[in-house]
Amino acid sequence: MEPNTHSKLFLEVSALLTGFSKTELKATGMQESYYNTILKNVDKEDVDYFFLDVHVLLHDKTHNEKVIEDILASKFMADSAYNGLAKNIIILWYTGNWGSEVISSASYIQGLMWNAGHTHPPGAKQPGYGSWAERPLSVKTNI
Amino acid sequence: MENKLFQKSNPNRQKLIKPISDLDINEEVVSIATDTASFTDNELNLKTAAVSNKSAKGMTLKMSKKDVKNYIKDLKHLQDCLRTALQLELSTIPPYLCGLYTIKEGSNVEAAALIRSVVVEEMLHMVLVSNILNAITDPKTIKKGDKLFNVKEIIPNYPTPLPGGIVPEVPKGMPPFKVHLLKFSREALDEFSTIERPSNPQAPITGHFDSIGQFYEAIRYGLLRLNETTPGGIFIGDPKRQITAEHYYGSGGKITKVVTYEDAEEAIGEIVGQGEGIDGTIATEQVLFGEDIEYAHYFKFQEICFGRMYSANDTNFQMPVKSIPTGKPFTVSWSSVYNMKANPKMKDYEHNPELLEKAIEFNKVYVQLLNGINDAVSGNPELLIKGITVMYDLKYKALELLNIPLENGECAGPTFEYVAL
Repeated sequence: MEPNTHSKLFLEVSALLTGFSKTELKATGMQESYYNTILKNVDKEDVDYFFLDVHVLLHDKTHNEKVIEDILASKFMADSAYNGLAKNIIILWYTGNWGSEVISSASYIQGLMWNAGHTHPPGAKQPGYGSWAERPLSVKTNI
Repeated sequence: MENKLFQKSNPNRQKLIKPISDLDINEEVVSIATDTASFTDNELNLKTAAVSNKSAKGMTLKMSKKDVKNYIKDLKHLQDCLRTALQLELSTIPPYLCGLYTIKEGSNVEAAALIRSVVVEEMLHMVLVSNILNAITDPKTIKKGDKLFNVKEIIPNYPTPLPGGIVPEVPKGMPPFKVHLLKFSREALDEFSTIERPSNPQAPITGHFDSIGQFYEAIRYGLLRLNETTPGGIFIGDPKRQITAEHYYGSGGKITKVVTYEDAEEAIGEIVGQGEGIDGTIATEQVLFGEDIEYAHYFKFQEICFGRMYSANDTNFQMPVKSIPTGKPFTVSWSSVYNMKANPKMKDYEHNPELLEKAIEFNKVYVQLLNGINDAVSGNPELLIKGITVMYDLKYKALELLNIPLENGECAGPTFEYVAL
């Protein structure tokens, strides 16, 4: 497969793994940097098999959403599967870290965990004095 | 650090604001249209030069001084004009923010700091205009729950003409001036300079204002005349509705509490002085040694256009403006920029529901910010800080949009449209 197909598959599978939409993932501006992080840190063989299997998983017409999720959960999440790549992709998007290493100042700020918690990365974004006393705008008031 | 150069306390920062001229409402002023043929072509082939060339050919038009003096008809008209002034100040904020947000992190540091300082002052201007409006509004006429302005109606639809019937001159053959939402670019800087450009005293007379300064001059005459001719004066507003320095953190100019005509004059002086200065020439001594004044917006944008700060020797601020900065150079990179599609709209994103959702999220923050300001100027000054904290979120939401590519190499951007919360 062409490397740019990998990059596209990376976005698609990342959306499934993180629960954030592809647009939300793009909005972090981190897609390319994270993809390169994987290429740098994971054996080529694992990466190739991973994307090959993801491609088959996502493009099998008999698979509905539920089936795709089930297969991801049962076949991709084990530490032994593709050297734990799927798990590491989730950690990568949520924390901006690879293992215990911060990838860049941008990746720290763009970690999805801050969005998930409706909060801000300490020391890197200014929420404004006293803003913590207000309900975050992103929290729907009718819940 | 980056802001240090632009702080008022910096002694190396030359002051370039003109004091506003004295008003004499009894003096009969006649048309000041004069023969402008003496203006020669500027050797630099730049926008400012093009503008002065054009005025040399008598193409520019502006309202006569007499018309400006008599523009405001009555108190109702004055209040309407102040609401228009609010919309005018607001209409400049989204284009400046687009210019600022599209600068990529780490590049164009000086330009970003200059634009940021202008945005902060435009916010201040909205508050100052609100203070004037509140100062001349009889508390008995305010119903409970009334807001000073209508957030849905005040948000302009870009590209928009400048509110208030202000028609700045544009080079011959160009369509009438409209404010567009553009990425950081030469076109954007030309637009910003046109918005803030001082009135040209040599321009022939017409029925419309040619600058923001001329519009505020009409308001100032109106305030003075109505205050003198109304028994008991017009400054009968509730002082508790005034925003004062304690409500406004983040600085960027001075908050003036308005309870008298003199206060209102000071507030307008702050607004117009920060923008462009009121027209007419001034002595260079005043320019050079003014104490508590900052660079006017027009000159800040000129600095970015030329990639050069003004220096202490730059004293050519006579009208029409053709001064060119000669101070310390700085790097302006027109390529380290998000390639934002001009005048983005939520409608453009309808084919992509996830992207549309992002645009709506941004607009919700924007409307929330305006609601916060509106609540604050409608009798709850202490709510202003709550509104200002939302400013930070606005930037982060805008950057999310700028990271999303569209077709043809452009990217999405903030649309600054009204959405219901």
